[in-house]
Amino acid sequence: MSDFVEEETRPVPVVRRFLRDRGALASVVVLLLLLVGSLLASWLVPDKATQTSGSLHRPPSAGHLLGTDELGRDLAARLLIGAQASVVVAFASALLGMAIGVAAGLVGGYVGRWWDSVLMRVMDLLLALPMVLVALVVVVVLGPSTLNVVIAIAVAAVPTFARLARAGVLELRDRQFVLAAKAMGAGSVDIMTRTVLPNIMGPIIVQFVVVAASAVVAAASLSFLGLGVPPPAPSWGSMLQQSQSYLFDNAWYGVFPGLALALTVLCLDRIGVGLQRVLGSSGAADIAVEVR
Amino acid sequence: MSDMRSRAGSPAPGLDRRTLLRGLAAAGGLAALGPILAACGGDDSGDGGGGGAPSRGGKLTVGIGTPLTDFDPYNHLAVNFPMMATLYSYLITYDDQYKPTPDLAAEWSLAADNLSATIKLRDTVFHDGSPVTAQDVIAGIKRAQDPKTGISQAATSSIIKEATAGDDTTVKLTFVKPTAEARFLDFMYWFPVVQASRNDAAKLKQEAGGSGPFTLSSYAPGDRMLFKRNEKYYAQGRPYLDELEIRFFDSQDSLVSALRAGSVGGALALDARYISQLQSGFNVVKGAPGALINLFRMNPLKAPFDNKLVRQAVARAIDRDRLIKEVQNGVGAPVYTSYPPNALGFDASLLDTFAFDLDAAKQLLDSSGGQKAAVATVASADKASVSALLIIQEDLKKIGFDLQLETVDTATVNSRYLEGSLQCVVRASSNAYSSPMGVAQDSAFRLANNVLWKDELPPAYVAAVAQLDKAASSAEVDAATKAVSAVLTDESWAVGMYTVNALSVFDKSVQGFARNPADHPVFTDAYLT
Amino acid sequence: MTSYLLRRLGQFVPVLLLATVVVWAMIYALPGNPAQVVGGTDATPEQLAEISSRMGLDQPIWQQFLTWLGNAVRGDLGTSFVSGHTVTSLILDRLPATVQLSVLAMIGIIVLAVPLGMVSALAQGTRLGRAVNVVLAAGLSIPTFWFGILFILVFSIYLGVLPAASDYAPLWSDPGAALRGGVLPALALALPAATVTARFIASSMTEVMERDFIRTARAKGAGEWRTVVRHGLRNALLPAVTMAGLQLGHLLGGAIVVEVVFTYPGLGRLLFAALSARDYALIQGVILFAVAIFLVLNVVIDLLYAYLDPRIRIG
Repeated sequence: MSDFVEEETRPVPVVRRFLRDRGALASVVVLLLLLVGSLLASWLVPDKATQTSGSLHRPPSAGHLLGTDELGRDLAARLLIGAQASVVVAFASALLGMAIGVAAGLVGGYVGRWWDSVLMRVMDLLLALPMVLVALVVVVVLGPSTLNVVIAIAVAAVPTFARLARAGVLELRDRQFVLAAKAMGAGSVDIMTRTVLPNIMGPIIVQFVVVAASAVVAAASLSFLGLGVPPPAPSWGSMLQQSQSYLFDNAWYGVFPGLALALTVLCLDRIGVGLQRVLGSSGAADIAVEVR
Repeated sequence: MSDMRSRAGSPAPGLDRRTLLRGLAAAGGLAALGPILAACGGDDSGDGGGGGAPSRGGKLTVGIGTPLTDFDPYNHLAVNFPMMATLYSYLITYDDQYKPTPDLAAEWSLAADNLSATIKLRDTVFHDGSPVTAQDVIAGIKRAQDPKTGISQAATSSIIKEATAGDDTTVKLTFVKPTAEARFLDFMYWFPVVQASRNDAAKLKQEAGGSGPFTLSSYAPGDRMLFKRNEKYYAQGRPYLDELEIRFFDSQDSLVSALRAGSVGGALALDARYISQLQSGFNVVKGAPGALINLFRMNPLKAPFDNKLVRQAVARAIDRDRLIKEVQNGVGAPVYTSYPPNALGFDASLLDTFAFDLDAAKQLLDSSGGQKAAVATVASADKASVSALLIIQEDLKKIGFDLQLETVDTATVNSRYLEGSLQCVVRASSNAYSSPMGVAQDSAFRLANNVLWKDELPPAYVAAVAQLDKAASSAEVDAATKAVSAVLTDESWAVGMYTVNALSVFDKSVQGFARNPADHPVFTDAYLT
Repeated sequence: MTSYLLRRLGQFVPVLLLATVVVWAMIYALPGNPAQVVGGTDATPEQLAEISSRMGLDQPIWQQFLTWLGNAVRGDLGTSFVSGHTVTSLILDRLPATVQLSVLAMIGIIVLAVPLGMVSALAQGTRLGRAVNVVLAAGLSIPTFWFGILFILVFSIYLGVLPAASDYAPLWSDPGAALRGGVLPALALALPAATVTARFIASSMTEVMERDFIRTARAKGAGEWRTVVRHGLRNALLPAVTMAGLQLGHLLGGAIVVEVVFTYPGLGRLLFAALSARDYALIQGVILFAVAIFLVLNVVIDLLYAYLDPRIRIG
């Protein structure tokens, strides 16, 4: 564990070692390409994903590379532009979950006493509550939007971040460099954010990527239950959900959003594995967000 | 009885469309056929087994995409349709042309002055063996007329001033004013006969109290209910099935998969969009035109739809032909108000006069001076309405109107609709009535407790409906209906789009299924081959 | 040990209480109420008021909550607003189906995760190892509902061997029907969970195999297979027990998505329908039950962990 603390203080070798992992590097490239392609598509043909054409349920052709859906919309455009929703949901929910979870874990672990008890009981509760309830309340009360899908998933991601951060803090709390900082008169907030936090970031970064990957799947599951990104904005989850009505009319419909979704999660997952190797955290971070 | 026309007499002059009295004798053997209507296999000619004599026995399992909430037939919720004509008998039933056939009312007659009527009940028993009496009907009318408990029966029963018993099986009704025959028939058609001792909303939560073709055998809330043949059913030899099971699914998609996999023998109330994948290989029965009519409803008390011209502009931007083709897979007929094409009030010319015309819509919108944006709230589970709104959204965009979609769950849409907090919504209306007054049953069209207008209904509409309410002769009814249609078209707060015609789809081995004009499934004559 | 158990159980009470308050607040924040669901949109305000008062919804929210809480403490979880059945009976009706599905899914998880995890750890760097890693990643990247739909398409519609709408039958009285109804939903639940567990096993296996006692075992001339199973797997499975326990806790609370896809009559669909119908008492009851099961299982896991790993002393 002590080497990893040293690693953290010298970030350059970490990045270099990560980039030497060909699989992880390829995954980063694929994701970037997807994102750039998606942004290009919404810049060049902004309306293509929502424009109806009157030719419904067409198989792939020169005019519509992946065919059309039940309203005659171009599936290729919807697939490409839909990537943004997935990427936004993935990173925003992981980021939000991390921010709240790590803060709670830091406070609980460092301050201890009843703060710790209360925060950990809240985390127990969040872990035990069905995510569908949380999502339904967030989406129905705050209105459907990508942001609210993000909030719903982030809530479910908070406890794991909190537990990871807390475990890290408990391990470091009585270490010399922390005690030294305290002796030098640093405040609690200062110690938590500037001394402790950088040294527990390894497993948290890995968890961040794991959550991002599972958030893509979770968002699709919420779409399946009717709690996803509202129409007409394209999203892979809603495409999969829609395609279910037309399994026999249009077998093509569900194939590509499914593949795109799987590919994105695979890439994120591979990046997570790469980071795990570089940052040396054990497999403890593998608990994902799951729609139950 | 001298002032009453005898049942053998010819229809009174002026009663043109429907003859009044359905002979019991004529119905003798046929009465039991009850709802004849759209029989199974109606769209497929000559499928196997259709010609042979129905066989008795067996168990049929069918699915529906929403769970039941009640055994109270006074509560006319679509989710409860499967149990209505299964557990209960009504006074009469209609075919799709609203021609009445006896059910529990063996004979009936309306006085010449249209101020009273007599109903003679069939000699039969409820599921627990106690006889069906005039007192059950009278208690039922009393409940229907109590504003707290009448629910869906309140409107059709409002014509009645007093109900008394002639003898054990004769009910005498006096009306509040001269009443058109069609409204008397509508009352009977919509009136479920419930055992008086059980006719209470709390009791009907868990058990039924009817005399219908099946009895309730078991009920697992949210999962399924099982019915057994009512051995004491009045029609000899019917129903054919020993058992009928209705399973609740969470979505139509999983129901269709289960049907294709043979896990259920039939699927009720499916969206028309499934027709392309099910019409070959299955028996498809299309829903009645009046059972569900999809309307684009705008909240006239909320901007921008408080501006009549904005509402009219939206009405002209609804492309009914395209909606039917793309959302309904070609099923359904275009409508402009909430009258279905087979109803007395239907005016086909409105479809031409106010046809889809984006230029006209744009002119109306520009001259309105109203705000050119709104939010449509829709249940995400209602995929057909979502699709319809996406098409309307695209057309409105062409005239410069920005319609945003807000997808939430069904309970939320309903709640916001009831409290009047949403701007616009696509919602179906049921208009399975013989009388054009039926239009005033819907929450958006009724005079009292109108959900959209609250107390601010347009005076012209109130006057037109009052005229229709008074109309007793067919000429009066005809003129008054035209006037109502004209106001509905002018005010355009709930614009008709198309008839929904929900599908009931069965395995080829299932024959004899029917549905009545309100789309209640009727399994009395269903059998397995 | 006893004091540990008491302390853990003592932590339940605040979490359960917190859960009831949070769930109550959440469901009341949702627009719509059971009276509207039961009455429909054609009901007049007068009729809705009548239905509401029958359901007790006309009382202030805090009073409804306290009444409910008071009854719940005495073991009465109230009555479903929609069906009129008691919440306890509705939960007990669905519980056997959920328990059976959870057990089948757990078997699936173990059967898939242990070999996959072992191969992933022991065959690192080989083609087999890489292939297994791809399978594990794929398991994570396909949404459960999509697995479900594909299973139905293949096994129910094309092959026609398993039902698309799953029935529950008790495993001991009718094993054939139980498996026909349970195998597809169990598999759909097990696949993603098994891949997570397999990775867990793989990483602890890798760690364990580098430890001294494995080297000792090898040095003593124990066969490779024996070393792996007797010494490696046994120790590697320890952390996986935690993982599996958490998963079981979640499964027993009801799996909404999978039960919805397969129309399986378990607690998940009961909750889903209750949420759609705003059936307050039923939502509250099912969630309380799920949270309690989850908490109890957590303690059981901790105890099991202490039992399996003598180095851990719980005090």
